[in-house]
Amino acid sequence: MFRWLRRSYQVVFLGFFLFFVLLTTAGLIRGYDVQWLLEFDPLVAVTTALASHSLHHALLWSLVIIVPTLILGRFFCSWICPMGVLHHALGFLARRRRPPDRVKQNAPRPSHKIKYLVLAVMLGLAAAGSVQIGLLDPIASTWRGLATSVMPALGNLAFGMYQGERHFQWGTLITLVFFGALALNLIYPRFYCRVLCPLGALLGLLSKFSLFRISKNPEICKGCKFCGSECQGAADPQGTVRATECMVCLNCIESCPRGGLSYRFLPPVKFSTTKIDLVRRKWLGAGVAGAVAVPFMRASDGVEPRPNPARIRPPGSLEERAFLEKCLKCAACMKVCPTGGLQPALHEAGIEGFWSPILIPRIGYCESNCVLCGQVCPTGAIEKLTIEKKVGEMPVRPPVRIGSAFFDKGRCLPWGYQTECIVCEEVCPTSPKAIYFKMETITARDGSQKTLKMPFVDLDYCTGCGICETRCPVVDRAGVRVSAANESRSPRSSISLTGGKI
Amino acid sequence: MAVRTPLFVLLALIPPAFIGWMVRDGHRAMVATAVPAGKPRPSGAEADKILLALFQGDLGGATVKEKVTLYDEKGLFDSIDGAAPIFIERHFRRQAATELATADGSDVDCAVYDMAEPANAQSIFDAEKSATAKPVTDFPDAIAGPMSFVFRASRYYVKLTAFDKKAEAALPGLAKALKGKMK
Amino acid sequence: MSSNGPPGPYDKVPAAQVPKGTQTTSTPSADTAGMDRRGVLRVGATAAMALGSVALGLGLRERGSRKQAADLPTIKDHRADKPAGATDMAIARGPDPAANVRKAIEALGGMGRFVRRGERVVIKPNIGWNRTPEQAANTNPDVVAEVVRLVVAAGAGKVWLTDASVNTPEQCFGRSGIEKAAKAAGATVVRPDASAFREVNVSGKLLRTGDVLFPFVEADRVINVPIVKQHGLSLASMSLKNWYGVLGGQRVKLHQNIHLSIIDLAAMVKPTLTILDATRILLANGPTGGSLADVKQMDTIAAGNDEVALDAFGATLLGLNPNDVGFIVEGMKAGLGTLQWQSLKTVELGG
Repeated sequence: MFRWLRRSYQVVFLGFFLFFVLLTTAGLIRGYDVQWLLEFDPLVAVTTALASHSLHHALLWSLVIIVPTLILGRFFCSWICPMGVLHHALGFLARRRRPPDRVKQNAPRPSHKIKYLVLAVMLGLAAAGSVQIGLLDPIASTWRGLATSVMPALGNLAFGMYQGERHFQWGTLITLVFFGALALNLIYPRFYCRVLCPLGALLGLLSKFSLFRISKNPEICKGCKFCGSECQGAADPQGTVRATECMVCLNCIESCPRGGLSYRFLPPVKFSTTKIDLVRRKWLGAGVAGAVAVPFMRASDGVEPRPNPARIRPPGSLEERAFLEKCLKCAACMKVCPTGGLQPALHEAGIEGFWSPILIPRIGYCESNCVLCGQVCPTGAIEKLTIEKKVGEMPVRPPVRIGSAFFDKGRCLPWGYQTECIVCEEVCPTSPKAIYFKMETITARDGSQKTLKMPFVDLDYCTGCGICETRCPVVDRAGVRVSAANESRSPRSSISLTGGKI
Repeated sequence: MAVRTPLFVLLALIPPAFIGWMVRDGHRAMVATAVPAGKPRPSGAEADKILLALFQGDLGGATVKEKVTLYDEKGLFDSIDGAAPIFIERHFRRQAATELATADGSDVDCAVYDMAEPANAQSIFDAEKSATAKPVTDFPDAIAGPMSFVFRASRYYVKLTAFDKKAEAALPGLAKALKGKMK
Repeated sequence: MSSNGPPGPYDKVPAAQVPKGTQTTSTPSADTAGMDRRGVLRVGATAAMALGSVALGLGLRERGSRKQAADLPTIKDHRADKPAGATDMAIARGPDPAANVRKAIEALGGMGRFVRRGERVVIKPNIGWNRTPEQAANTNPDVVAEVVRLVVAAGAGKVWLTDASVNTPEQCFGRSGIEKAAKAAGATVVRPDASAFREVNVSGKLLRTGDVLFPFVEADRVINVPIVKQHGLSLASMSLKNWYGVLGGQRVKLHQNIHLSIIDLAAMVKPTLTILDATRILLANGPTGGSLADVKQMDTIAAGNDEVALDAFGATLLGLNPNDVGFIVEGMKAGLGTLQWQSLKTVELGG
């Protein structure tokens, strides 16, 4: 009976998760907390708190999973986790027909302790200030796979009816990783969950304290091992139940032909084990390796003070060091961005910032009256802004700047080709406009006098939104481009003396 | 066991309750739809009315001798000749020109330029200011020259011209009175 | 485990065969389910973990406060009281720079007029560039050393010597000869490392906040020891401009309004004493210099507490009219001093 309840939970939560992911678009999102699952995710809370020494208030929701896991065990993996459901469903493809073969598939293996080492490395990285957990966390990975790979592909096939044409740079990499993880289920079911998932590892560690566990009645058990044929977590119900691997799917209870298994409060200790077959040396070493990697990464790509000009962060982003202590690379901001301008970085933000969001104005600009990216960020790497705060009120209150525009006078039509244009001034959203023009009379090719409007950028007003670059008619490398300099989140980045901060 | 059925029901109710709460909670309109702050600028007839109202009431003892004439972009050339282009390129909106009489009867020429934006008024003030102009104490954005007093307040740029010493002395008071009405 | 003829995996054992309510007895704890002593311990451990998580979560929760400008420190006024009838400015000429310094300070009333026993002093020479003393881009090391010696002799509790160089500090401090000379004279040399700066209120007309080397935040007295140089943008770099060297951050932005920035900085520091080094001056291609052909030997030291006056005097050495130098005029307008240095109580001491 409860097994059917568990199945319903899986379907409902997967459906709800996907529904809210679908709603994460400018037209539909309203005030929905589309990030509810990442806010529940204990691994997100733990790693961002370790790295930034503070817990984003929304992440307190993770206690709703942590406390019940401490009591009930690793129920999240088979009742709620949408990635788990996908893996479980795909695992059906690899499922052997004969139960004894399935018992072999679900047997515990030494490789199942790898996820604890993965967790240790991730926690080590976080402790040294670099959050990379989003690369392997199942929920952040699912978000990223859906947002930058699956939905754009499906949406573009449907003539862009959903969100318009969407493209994400080197999205094929994300596709390969996402589907690769799912394809691992062809080896045996729930491969990712058993071998790699750091969230599963964390929940497994919490399950060491679980008060409710699967337990067997030794008088009844005849050793048929039928229970092991459906075990999702490879928790060895046919032997000594491994409480850290058990996902509380309750399959074993239903499979046992004699009813010898039950899920009960404080079962006899000898029927379950919480040992993870990992010597202290190994996981301490993994943690240290993670921590030590950080200064090496930072020696390779300095976070400050001379960043890549293409590292244009979403408006409301924290200063870069703090940003990297929180960004999960979940790609929710990339999904909700109404113009599709937010893209996964490759090298622009260094190794640490791989797949973190950057604005590529040639693809999409930052709409000035929009603050959706901050609204969907689950960890506060992008802070919530109001439109008033973002737009400011010049000259009294400066706007939030993400960069500044500069003219490439060789490519701009008036400057380089003696041709009238100023689309950039037309679309510039600030009041007064950051792009202004001055009249200039030149001698054209045929000798006649021609008066042109020559565009200039006023750094005090430019917010770096990039619409000038997006709309510039010079279609490949635009005649006006935006770089990250003068972004307001980073005092070291400012160019203009206006405002009086040195 | 007796606990199983109520437990089942409780667990069964959690997802719909949760989902219902999330949907209801988020169904409110997006908070970020507020109109940005700032007052809409008065324009056209409304702004003309405000401009004319500056000459009503107390003018530091002065009175309006001649009816206030309003000049727009076209008429500005008639009023100030070759000085017009530098105003027009600064988005000048309207000039109010008149002659005032001080308390003791001396004449003062008064020209008030509505420059539509404070920044434009500041710009024309800076442009016309001579290098040797002396700032006036306790009166920001004002310069007092021989027989003249020029100041900027809000979106207005004002030029007062006197023709004798007595009127010259009355200019600061007159300027202050005018400035007091400029919001 | 199973007896002979076990039921196959597909066979269901009829419920009647299964003994009901079976519970292994005998061995305690490990075999028993439910609450016994071990169970209580386990529940306690779990409860502790749960409560601990909640407490940790609530404790680490983000709080919204961010540092406001009002929390930043402000640089204090370092000026010393002027005794009645004291000299305002002293100009000493002669072949020995250290002797010139001594003569000038003596004419002003001795270092004791400016530095009390136990006070913490920071000496600010110009160590901006990777140049030798002969190239006249940095202050003469002998002048600096003599100033340090006099300050130490006056009984200062702590003597810092620092500057935020433009070229790499190791090379500037070394090639200028200043680090070696200052250390020998008893100063604590402070290199402008990233960790040496503090954010402060500048509270100027143009500049609001900035990063400043910590000795300027902590010292009781500040002594300016600049050199006289030509400068492409500001026309000259002497006493008032020397305060650029207290800044970190993005000080390259200040050139967007160089004259007013100079004044804001000078008004922020309000130094105790300035000793203007005109032993060798740089006439062209400043402030970096390089060619000895641009250097002129003047063997002069000017000292006083009016930076505007000293800079006006220095401007004349460069062949400039002080009224043409923007920051000198602005400095006078801002009330930092007078450019009519002759009108002050000045003493000139010949070679």
